[in-house]
Order: sequence, then C-alpha cells, then structure tokens
Amino acid sequence: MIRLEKIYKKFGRLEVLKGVDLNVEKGEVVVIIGPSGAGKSTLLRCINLLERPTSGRVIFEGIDITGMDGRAVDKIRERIGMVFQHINLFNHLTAIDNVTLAPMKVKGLSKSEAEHIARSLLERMGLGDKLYSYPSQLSGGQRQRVAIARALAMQPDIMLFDEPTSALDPEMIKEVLDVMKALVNDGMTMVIVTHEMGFAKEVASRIIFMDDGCIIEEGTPKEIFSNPKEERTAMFLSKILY
Amino acid sequence: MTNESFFPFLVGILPHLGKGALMTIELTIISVGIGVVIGIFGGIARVSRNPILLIPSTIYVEVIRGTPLLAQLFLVYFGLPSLGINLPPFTAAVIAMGINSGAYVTEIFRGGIQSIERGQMEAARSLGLSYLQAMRYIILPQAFKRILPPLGNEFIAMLKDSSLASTIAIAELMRVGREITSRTFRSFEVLAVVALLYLAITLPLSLLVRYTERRMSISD
Repeated sequence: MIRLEKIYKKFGRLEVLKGVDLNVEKGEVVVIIGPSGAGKSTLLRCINLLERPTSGRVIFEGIDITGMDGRAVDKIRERIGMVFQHINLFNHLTAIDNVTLAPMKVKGLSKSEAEHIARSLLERMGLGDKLYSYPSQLSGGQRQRVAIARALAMQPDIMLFDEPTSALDPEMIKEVLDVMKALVNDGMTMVIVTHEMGFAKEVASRIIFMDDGCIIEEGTPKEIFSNPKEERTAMFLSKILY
Repeated sequence: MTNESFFPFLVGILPHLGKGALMTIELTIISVGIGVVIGIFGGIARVSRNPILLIPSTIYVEVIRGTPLLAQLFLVYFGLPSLGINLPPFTAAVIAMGINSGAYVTEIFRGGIQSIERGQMEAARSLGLSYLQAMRYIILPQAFKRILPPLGNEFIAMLKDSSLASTIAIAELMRVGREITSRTFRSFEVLAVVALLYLAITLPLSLLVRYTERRMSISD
C-alpha cells in the first residue's frame, strides 16, 4: 500500500533520515520504535508529505506521490488519516464539529450525513455524551479519542499515529490504546510511532527499530523483543524495558 | 456672542460639534472596514512562502507604515488630480485612510495567524483540506478572536488620526472645531471641548478593549 524508497530528509545541515526504505502492506500494523531523535516522526510525516523528503520516493498504491502538489496531494491525504502527539484538535469547534468538518468541506457530504458518521464514531470512542463539548472541556485522553474519530471520519485506507499517548497523563494512556486496539481488530492498516512497548508487542505485525536516521532492524515482535540481532536494538531495549 | 458665558456658548456649538463627531466616526468605520478587508488578505500574504505574495505585501506594509498619513492623504487628494484622477474629499480620505489602516491591520492579522499553533494547520492539511480551506475554516476563526483587542486599538488610533482629514475640507470634528474657532475666536474653550469629545469616544472603546483582553487571558 505504501512504499518508501531511499528517503533522505535534511533540515538545514542536520540529516534526519539517511536513506530509509519501508514497505507497508494492506492490513499490516507496523510499529516504529527507537530513541528520540532517531527520525521516527519525520519518517511518518513523509508518508503523507507533511514533510517533503529531500530525496527519495513515496509511493502510495503504486503511484509516486513525491512530486505531487496542490489538489493532488490533498486527494492523497484524504485517504491517509493522521493522529498527532499534540492532538491538535480544532480548539474553536465542538467535538462533533471537529469530526464533521473535513467530510463536509473536503468530501462534500451534507451536514446530516457527516453528523451521522461523526455521532457513530464518537459513540464508538466512548464519547457519546461529549458530542457538543469543546476541546478545552475534555481531558487529554478524550481529546485524543476525538482526534482519532476525526481522522477516521474521512474513511482512510491507512492510519498514521505519531506518538499518540506521549503527551497524555499516565491514567489516560490505556483508553487511547484500547481504541487503537479496536482499530487493529477491525483490520485497519496502521503505522504507529510509540514508546508503549507492551502495546507494540501485542498489536504489531512488524516492529521497526530506528536509530540515527536509519532502520537498524525489523521483524516480528517476538524477533525484536526476545532475540534482537543488532547490538543497538538490544541496547535500546535493555534501557527501556524493566 | 464672544462675550457669552461658557455654558450657553457650549450649548450653542455642541450640535455642530456633534455632527462633526458623527462624521469622524463614519470616516473611521469606513476606513478601518477597508483596512480589515485589506488586512485579511494582506495578513495571509505576509505569512505566505510564495514570493509573489510575500514581497509585495511586505513592501506595502513598510512603505505605508514608514510614511506619514498626512503625506498619503495629500498624495491621494492633491496628487492624483495631476494624473487626471479627481476624487471628492470624502472618497479621497477613506481611500487614503483605508489603505493606511490596511497596512497596520495586515500586521495585526499576520501576528494573529502566526500565534495559532502550527499543529492546527498540519491537522487540517492531514485531513485533505487545502491551504486556503485550512486558513478559512481553522486558522482565521481562531486568529480573529485573538486579534480583536489590537483591532480595537487600531480603531482608536485611526479615530484620532482621522483629524488629519480636516486638512482636505472634510467637516469632521477637528474641522468643525477650527471653523467655530475662526468665527468666535474662543480657541481654547472650543479646542478643549473638541479634545474632550475625542476622549469621550475613545475612552469607552479602550475600556472595552481592555475588558476583552482580560476575558481572553482567562479563557485561554
């Protein structure tokens, strides 16, 4: 579904990605782990071109989208949902308006169609009683679940999660991970950057370990967690697993 | 008439000054209105990375803010006729003042747009909204709330600066005051009343600005 070929990304003189190749098949759940500064988020943001690779190719369903701009990129982004570490709910809109905005303005759905979808999504997220709350009236975990509903409302083919629980209080992490787990069970294709190793172990079809702008190692959760081949992977895991 | 005591004199001139004050308010509302329309587009242009938008809008802001409003006003009213463009005083005044206000409002919008966290734009774009849709539905509504206080300040500043329009024969508050002065020779009393009338309009406004500022700092 998604293929990244030799992705390089430089910010000024800082080289954040150094020739990364990545393939994501339909139905896969790919979890990217690694120390901060490894380039995980940047890689994720290259998939929907929020970040433009300095060189390399991004291929979505067989089409090279790297050089696309304007309307063409918007069209691709409709099909790639994204959830952010800093949540980024639209602060001036209620929960339901956050979810209905893009289906109405981008897909041209009527208000009642969009609200029908939004209502059932928010109910699925356990937020049926928060439809008309503003982001400032919601907890971090509730906000992130609204953000997931907002992305899902576009009925994307794939979902990108950029450290979705890193900015949350500890007691709210589980409610967000539970919602993500439900998505995995529905067969959603997902790419997840996270530090939640227990969650990664449980849901990943493939784990990718990144360090210093490169993919160091990839494999099944079992291979990576129980039997890492690379020393750097082993060292990283020994530091973060108790 | 010149020996009349102050209060009967004041009662006599107030209706004229009142009319002048209304003209001042009208002039200011129209000018700042033009300024806001220019400012929305100017502000978007000023945060653009496209040089075709960025460079002209930057030049506009710098030229207007770096030259006196009086010079701009004279250029439009006395300068344009030599190019064959004759404008009535009121039209000339709102054009000059509107363009002038537009430069300040552009900077107000630029600041407002830039004060919205980058994540809002990214979230909007990730959903497939175009840059302009994201501006219109996500960034500007949030920015607009934040710029209300500085916009109020711009209105107050323009209200005072509109006194310059007295120089091109517009019967606004300042002009009416000077006309009464030249008829009655009671300069100090008349001009003091004129000044107080300006204050009577700006003071409630600046209190309102301060109130909205305070309320917003609580809600944010």
